[in-house]
Amino acid sequence: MPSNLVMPFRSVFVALALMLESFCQLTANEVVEVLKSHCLECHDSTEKSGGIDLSVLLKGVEDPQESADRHAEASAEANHSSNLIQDLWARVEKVVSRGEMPPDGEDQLDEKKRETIRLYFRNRYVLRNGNPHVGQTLLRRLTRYELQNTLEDVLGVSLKRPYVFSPESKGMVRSTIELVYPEDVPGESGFDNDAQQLAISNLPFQEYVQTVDYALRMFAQNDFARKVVFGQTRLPNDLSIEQATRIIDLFVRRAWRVGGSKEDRNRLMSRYHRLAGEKTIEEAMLAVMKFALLSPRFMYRFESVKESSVPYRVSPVELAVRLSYFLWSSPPDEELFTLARNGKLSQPEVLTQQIARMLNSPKRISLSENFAGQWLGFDQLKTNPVYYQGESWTRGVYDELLFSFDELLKSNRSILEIVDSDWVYLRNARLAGGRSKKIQLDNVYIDIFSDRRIRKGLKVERFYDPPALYQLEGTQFGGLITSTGIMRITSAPKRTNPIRRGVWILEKIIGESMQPPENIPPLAESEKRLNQNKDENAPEVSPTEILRLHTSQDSCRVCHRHIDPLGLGLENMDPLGVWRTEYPGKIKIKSEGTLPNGRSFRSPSELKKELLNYYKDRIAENMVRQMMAYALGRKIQPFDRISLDRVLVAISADDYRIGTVIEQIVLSPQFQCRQDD
Amino acid sequence: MSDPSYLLPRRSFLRGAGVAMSLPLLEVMAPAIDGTDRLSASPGRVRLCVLYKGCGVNPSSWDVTGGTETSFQLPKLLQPLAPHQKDVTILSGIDSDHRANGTHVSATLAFMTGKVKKSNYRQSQSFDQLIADEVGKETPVHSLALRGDPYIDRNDSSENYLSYDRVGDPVPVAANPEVVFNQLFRGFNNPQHRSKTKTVIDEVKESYEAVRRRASRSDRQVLLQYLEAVRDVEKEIAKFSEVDRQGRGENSSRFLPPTAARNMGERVQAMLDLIAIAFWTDTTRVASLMMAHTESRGIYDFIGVNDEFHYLSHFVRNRRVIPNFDRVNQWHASQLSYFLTKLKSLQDGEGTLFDNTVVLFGSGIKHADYHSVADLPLVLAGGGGGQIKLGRYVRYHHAPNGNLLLKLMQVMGLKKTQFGNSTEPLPGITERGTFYRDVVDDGSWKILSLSDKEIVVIGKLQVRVTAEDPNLYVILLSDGSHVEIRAGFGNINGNRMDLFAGSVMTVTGELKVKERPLVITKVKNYQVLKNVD
Repeated sequence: MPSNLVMPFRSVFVALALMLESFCQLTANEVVEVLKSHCLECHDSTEKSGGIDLSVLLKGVEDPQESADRHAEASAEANHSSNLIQDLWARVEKVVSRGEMPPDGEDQLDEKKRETIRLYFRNRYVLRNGNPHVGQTLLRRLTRYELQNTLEDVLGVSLKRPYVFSPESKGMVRSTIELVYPEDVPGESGFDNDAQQLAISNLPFQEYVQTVDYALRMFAQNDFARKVVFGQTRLPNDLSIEQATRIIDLFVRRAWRVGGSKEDRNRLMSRYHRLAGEKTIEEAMLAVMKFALLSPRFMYRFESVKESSVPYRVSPVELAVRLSYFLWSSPPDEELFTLARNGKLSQPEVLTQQIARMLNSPKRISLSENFAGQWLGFDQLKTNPVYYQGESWTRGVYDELLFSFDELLKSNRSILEIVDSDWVYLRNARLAGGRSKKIQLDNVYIDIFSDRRIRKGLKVERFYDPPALYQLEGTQFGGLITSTGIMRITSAPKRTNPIRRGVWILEKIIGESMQPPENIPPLAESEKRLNQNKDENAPEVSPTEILRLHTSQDSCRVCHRHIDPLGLGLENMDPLGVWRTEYPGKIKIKSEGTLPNGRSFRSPSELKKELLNYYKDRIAENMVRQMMAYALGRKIQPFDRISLDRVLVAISADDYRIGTVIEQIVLSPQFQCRQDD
Repeated sequence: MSDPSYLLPRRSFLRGAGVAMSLPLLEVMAPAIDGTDRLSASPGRVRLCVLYKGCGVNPSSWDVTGGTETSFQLPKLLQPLAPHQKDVTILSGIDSDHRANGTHVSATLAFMTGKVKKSNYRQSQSFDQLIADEVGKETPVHSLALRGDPYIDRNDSSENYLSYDRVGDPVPVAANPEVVFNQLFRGFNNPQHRSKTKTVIDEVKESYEAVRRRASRSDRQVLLQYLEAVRDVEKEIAKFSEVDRQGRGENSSRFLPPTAARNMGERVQAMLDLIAIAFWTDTTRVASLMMAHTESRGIYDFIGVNDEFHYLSHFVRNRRVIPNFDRVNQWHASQLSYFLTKLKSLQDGEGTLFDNTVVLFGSGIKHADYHSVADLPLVLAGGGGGQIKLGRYVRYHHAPNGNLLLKLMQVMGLKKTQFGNSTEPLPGITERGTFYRDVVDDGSWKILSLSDKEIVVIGKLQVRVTAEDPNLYVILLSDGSHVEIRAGFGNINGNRMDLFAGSVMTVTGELKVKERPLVITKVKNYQVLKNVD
């Protein structure tokens, strides 16, 4: 494992900056020239080909230092428009670098002009004053998921509900905290831990107080937990001041992670003294714990600040906190804290050891549950009653995805196996064609999933038989993308929706953001056209043919040549992921098509192989982007490009193993540094 | 369905229609101090409730045809309002911000702000929040933002919100009726809980101060939300204490918490019950409920509809969905009806709660498939403290929705003169309006030219959505005949024809069918001559 990447990133930054400085004296005029001569003919404000108007970019180029508006609202609008321009530039740079634009048949850009675009983008949006940077670090609030985990850890109690799917609520039964504290809404990063989104979503304070009250009630009833926090199960009424101080200090160190100032702790102590005079020692102690848990020090993840506009490293303890919330959605455990506090975590080999240790812990399930669940969207299976098809079906389908993603982490497999693999977790009912062999269930799952039981009412009926790992031979079902869960969430209840499936693969797996057309002609029109032209004895027209005709117009084809083959290639999987060979009405199903590069496939499994040929780099890049966005709690920006590229180089040299992806993200300046504006 | 009256022990409710006002409300509700009746129709005591259903409607089932301002037939989708026909005012011809045309998200954003801004960014404060900042001063709870849709939309978070606060951040929506119930009628109604929370608040404010002093500039920006949240709770506690001091709080302990909702229908009804009781006890005066958002994948299986709502709403492109789409929309109207019945059953001052409430019901989209934001489907109900003229159908001519919101703010006692896209306070709400009539046939509607391939015709455009023919438009002619437009979705959409239904226009189109009625298969161009008389 490459471990020499932690220290030298600053020198890399500097070297890159120098290198760029020397040959990027290009002027705005050159860019304007390229845009005008090659792009604006189609992408001006009147033609707006493909809905893209690049004329707005000219203004930005010619007038780079727009003066800040005086009014707050006006400046927000200006901010907004500069964001749009940045996004547009990113798009231009991407399609030009990939050679997708100008389109075939138009005047192509020569290498020098391509470079002009790339350099302009790099100087303006990737670098700042010629230097790489990591962007402003925003204060992060705990999400509901993290709040629940953190309270469990800090208090040593169990607050989550066992996984129970209930016919009454048509979904997973929620924990008390999930009932009381509202769900976080995902931000622009696509994840609910998006710092920006959390910063504009109001803190539900009453629910927060109720949550803490509930957690402390659970704590007070739990002798084991009390022993951990108090050092004894019952606090004697003659608890000495030293003992009380010690308990509170230890508790605050865990609850506040980076610890508070002396002032913060003194306040708690004086509160304790006051209360201890009025109430029992235990009541006083619980009240102090409550204050500690309601402090911003608990709810927000503070880092010490140098008010610097240049990236600087966070402290080892702060790094430990970042790491544990990334991998576990929980605070660091004792081992990680200790290594951070004695400074050892700064050593690259210690850090990589810790990453490996953390990925061996059952707590890594948060990466599957919280990260993959949100990224791939399968967390909806738990909560959206639309997907409920009975207790064991829904749970089995959810668990197939959860266990399969976890298998990547457990066995440090390639992230490309999300697309295709020769193993998969299958619930009992689902073995479609081909040969497969059950693999011994690893013990680690017993820890994570042991409380998944089939229940009726309050009574446990029988232990749940979870999906098991199978070695696949010759089936169509390798990888996560053909899992029952994904096939279901990308379909309507009773029929498949090839476009939804195609868009899902493009957005979630390949990382193309698909803007839905404002309004498009209905499929029915194409069907009518087909039916008009056919003679009476011809067989029924299949949905595939209708879709083909529907998207054959030029304006549609631009996107649909990417979308349709992906969705149509999965037509053999019905809305519940079951293999089928005919539509109702005996029309034969062909999962076949041609990718935009001209390569054809004739089955889902061939499609997956072609996907990995054609889109491999983009799939890997997308996966890294998604995980980085989750790790950093923000949308990936142009200035992340340098780190992103370094991660990509490193993982391609190591078979795209997910462990390496995680390690490389953690080693990147983005993860290790902060910057204050 | 659950028993709709579970929120109150039956005896507290009205004992039969004949003695509808028998509940000794004033004993509990009026201020104990001087006994003056502050429950009479003073503008300060009017409540506002917005009921939003996403996804638009099928225009042919929604639109009122013919009639006059005071004499008209309820359209199909509003049939459930029949018992209340004299007590609702149907509004037509009100447009949202036109930049929202064709989109899910902006249509939602503009509904209560009257203004499109990029989603996921700070918005303008919504009209309900501006109102709550004023009238909420006197009530324990500032306002309620609720949702009935069982799940949040993850593609674009802005679809989940209707209300935006002073700085333009979305107001969190509560999804669980039991939690809302506890906040309204348990929690701070209990003096012990108040004082306990007060202690907590004092402590956290101190510790916030200490933290803030050491925080960086940008951290402080984020931390402000913490302080704001704490302050809001503090205000609420103070207001609950005041209610207690006046002896009004006891009432709340008599309410029974709702039972767990088994489906979306029960959840929506529980939320409506909660709003009614919250208004009645003057716990809050402003509420909004998102019954379904605009990309709702909710399933109305409890009325036998098993397809996703958003899928059904695309009734042109998805075939044979209109009957079920209409049923879901009728169900939404029936919820309005249910709510109005409930408001009428509760005594408030001299009249009922209905008399002192303004209810705005509607969607930010009209044509569910074309996502047009012109002629929004809107119903106004409730007396608004005797201010609102009910039992009418009022037709406007492309009035911006900001005008309506501005007018409602004035009804609620605010002294505002401009809001969002407003040009003036909407006339015709507190007094009879200008009733724009259908364009009258002046005898000139006819075929102007007809060749083998092309037709030019002048006449009145009408949408005629039917289950079999979801995209049919016709042009009515003076001789009683009509020309059909059976053009592709793209053609109609490209021309945005749906925005001009009801107008007289000249249409040039390609012709295929030669028998009568003639059929235009592609609209080449058209010119609107006249919208209204």
